[in-house]
Amino acid sequence: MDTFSAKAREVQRTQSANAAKEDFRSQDDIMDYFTRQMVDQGYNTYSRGSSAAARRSTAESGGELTITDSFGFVEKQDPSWGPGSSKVQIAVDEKLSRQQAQLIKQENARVMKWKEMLEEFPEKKHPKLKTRARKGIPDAIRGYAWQILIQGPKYLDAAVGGKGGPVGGRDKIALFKALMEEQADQKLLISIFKDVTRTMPEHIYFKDRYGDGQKALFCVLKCLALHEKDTSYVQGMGYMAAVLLTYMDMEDTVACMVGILRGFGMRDKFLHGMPGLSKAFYVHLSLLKKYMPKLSQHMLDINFLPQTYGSQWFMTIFSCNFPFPCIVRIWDIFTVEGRKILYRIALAVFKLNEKALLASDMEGFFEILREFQKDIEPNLLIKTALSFKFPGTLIDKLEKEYVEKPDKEIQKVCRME
Amino acid sequence: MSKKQFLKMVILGDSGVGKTTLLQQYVTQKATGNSKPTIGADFQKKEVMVDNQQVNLQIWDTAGQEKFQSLGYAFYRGADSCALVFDITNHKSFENLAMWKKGFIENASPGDVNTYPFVVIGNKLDKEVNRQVTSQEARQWCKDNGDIPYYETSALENISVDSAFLEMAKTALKRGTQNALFSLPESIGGAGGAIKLNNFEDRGGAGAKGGAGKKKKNGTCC
Repeated sequence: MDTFSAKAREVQRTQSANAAKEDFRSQDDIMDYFTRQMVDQGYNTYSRGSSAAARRSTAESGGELTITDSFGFVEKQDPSWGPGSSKVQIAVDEKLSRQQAQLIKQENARVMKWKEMLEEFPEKKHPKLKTRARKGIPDAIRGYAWQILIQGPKYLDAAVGGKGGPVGGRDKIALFKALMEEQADQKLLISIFKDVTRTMPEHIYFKDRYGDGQKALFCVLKCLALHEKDTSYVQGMGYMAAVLLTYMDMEDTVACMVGILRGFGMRDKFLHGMPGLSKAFYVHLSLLKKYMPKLSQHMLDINFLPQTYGSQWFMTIFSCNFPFPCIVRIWDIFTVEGRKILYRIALAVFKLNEKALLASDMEGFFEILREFQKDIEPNLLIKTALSFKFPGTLIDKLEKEYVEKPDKEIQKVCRME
Repeated sequence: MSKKQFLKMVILGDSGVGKTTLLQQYVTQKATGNSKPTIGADFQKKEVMVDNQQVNLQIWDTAGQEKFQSLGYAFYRGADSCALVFDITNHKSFENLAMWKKGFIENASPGDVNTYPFVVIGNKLDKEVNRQVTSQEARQWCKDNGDIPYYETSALENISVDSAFLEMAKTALKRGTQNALFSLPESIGGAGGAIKLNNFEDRGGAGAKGGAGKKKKNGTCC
């Protein structure tokens, strides 16, 4: 328990350090520099007023009470507090019902179990880590768990600024600071900026133009782009960083992003020509052919290409278009088991729509997948995904096959220019 | 009996110029003005009447970041028409039109480039005060590039969006007729029913790799 407390304290320390530097000098410096550049250019992002005005309006809108779901997404409809509403009810006077109390007790017990498991990670992998991750990491400890599971600091570049610590990887805070202060190419900043204002705007943290969330996302992506010289910033990274930012600080988000890219085989999907993406398509289609041969053939016949639906899935770990409750469940498994879950989720999506898709043309495919992605029940999705049982070595084998002796028909579909 | 026509269109242009919003406005008559970045590509369909003929448009929305052009091969081929979109308040996005056009031609091998139905769209007319690209400048570019029709639109306020897409459909249809475009029953449409059109094959050399030179048509007879 002590080890965890130490780790928890560290996380807390980071958080309070962040709170203290709300006006983090170089962060604002960069934003202001950036604002000036944009205004000088007459660039239109600021056409609705100067950034100062925008910030003011952000502050003003803070007076209103915003109702969100438990993940922080702003509820679309008028708040209705009746029974059956998805909103968290604030019951000040009421006593908790026995059922509620039981649920809370259960959840707390799960959190404790996770604490214990994470204490020994990565030195020892708890035998139940996998099965428990598949049930979903308790939300209270999710961000911390992801950090431990991803082991981001291990992958941070010592040369960029942070010195390698003796144990437990590099100094993510020093590194972040150094990257923040590093001058970046203006083109890069503009491309990040354009996306930051429109990534996950339905979330309370990101909804305000030039608000704290957008600022944080901007800083994270800037640091990440400077850290990952080979890929720089690529669209898609923003979705993942936004998911992480809803659970952790900027420093930890950068470390986790680096960990995901370098330690979880995501990096080559963002390199020039996206070689990792075509490889992923190959594995995906090979598995589809294995498990749903009819559908696979039908897709080849109607020319429904993985580039159209799969880029979003495989480049962002499903964080681009899936409902948030599904995204986090997928990430829970991804951080423990790695890329295998990506392919299993893809199989699940097709399995759950197999009948309709078989009877559909290309236009219909888009409709069906679009509708499906709007509202997926996480448990069903995960259960279906896990029902596809194959050894992880099969993915290695298919990746090898892709390089050495690919199935010509599948290869033709996957390849890029 | 009139035949149902299918047209495939792609929308290209820099990140953030408003491609997704244009398409959203055109297809749903609604625009939020804050579309999320497109990863890979997205797809919408719309049925329109062009000269008393029912036409099914398949419109492909693409990612604006240059890196995603690697995926272009998959989306561009077989396109009957291509919209090159820039943001009138962002000169760089206008300068990049040439790059997008070139990328499209290399990947889609659209046959005779000079008669290919491109349309240039200068978007964000609602932000006229911040204009960086004059209409004249844009028109000149279009003229120099083979008399490409030019439209200025506001995806946000639905100005000229319909006419721009209609123009694309019209010119594509016209060119299709010239190229003896014909429809196929659905059963043999798709990849299996790919038909080679002489013009496309003849001129498709430049970027033709594998099946890139093939012109694919899906269609149904009514």
